Amino acid sequence: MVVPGDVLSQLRRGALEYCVLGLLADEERYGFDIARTLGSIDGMVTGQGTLYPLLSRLKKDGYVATTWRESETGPPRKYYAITPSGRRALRDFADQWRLFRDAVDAILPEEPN
Amino acid sequence: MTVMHPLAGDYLRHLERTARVLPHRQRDELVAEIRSHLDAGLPPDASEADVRNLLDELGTPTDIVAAAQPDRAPARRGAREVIALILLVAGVPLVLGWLVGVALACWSPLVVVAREAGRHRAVSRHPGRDRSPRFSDRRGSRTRAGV
Repeated sequence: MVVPGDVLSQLRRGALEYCVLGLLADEERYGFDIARTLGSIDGMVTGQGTLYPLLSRLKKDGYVATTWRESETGPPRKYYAITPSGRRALRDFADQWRLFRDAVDAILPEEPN
Repeated sequence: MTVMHPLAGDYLRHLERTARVLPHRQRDELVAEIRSHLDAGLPPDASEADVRNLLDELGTPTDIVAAAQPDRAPARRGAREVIALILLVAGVPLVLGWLVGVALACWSPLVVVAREAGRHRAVSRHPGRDRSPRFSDRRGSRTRAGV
C-alpha cells in the first residue's frame, strides 16, 4: 500500500509528459515558459528543473521538436513544438484518461470522509 | 549571456558535477537548458532573494539528475545485485567445500597409505646404488671368510 504522498507522485509520473504535450498543443514554447506554467499549477511538478530531462525524453521519442529562436532580451532560446506523432500520443492519452477518470469517479464516494 | 549571479553560478557548477553520471551529450544539454532557464528567469538586477526563489523552484541538482536517469537503470542494477548475491552466497560453500575436501584428503588413511607407498617406491627405484654393492660386499666377505 502506498502512502498518500506517493499516490500523487505516481499519478504525476504517468500524466506529466502528456500535460507537457497538452501545453504545446496550440503553440510552441521555450523551456522556461513550460517550466513556469506547469510549476504554477499546484501539485503538477515538484521541481521545475525535472521538466528538462522530461522534455529531452519527449524529443528523443519524437513527440516534440526543437528550434532555436532569437530572444529580444537575452541569448537565443530553444523552443519546443509538438510533432504529429506527439499529437497522436496526446489524443490517445486524453481518450484513456477520460475513461479512467470517469471509472474512478464512478467508484469513489462523492464526499469522502 | 548576462553576468550570472554567484549563487546561480554555484548552482550550475553543482549541477555539472552531479550530472557527471549522465552520458556527455545528455549532460551538456541538461546544463545548457538549466543555464538558459536561469538566464530567462533572472533580470540583470535580480536580488539575492529572486535568485534563491528561482533556484528553490528549480529543485536540487540531485533531483534533476535523478529525473534524467531512465527508470530502467535501477531495475537493471537490481538484477545484477541479485545475481552477485546468489553467486556470493552460493560461492561460500563451494570454496569452503573445496578447502574441506583438500583437508579431508590430506588426513585420509587411504592417502596416507598411498603416500607411504609412494615413498617406498621412490627408495626402491634406485636399488643398484643402495643394495647391490652391499650384497656383493657381503658376498665378497663371505668368500674371503671362506678362504
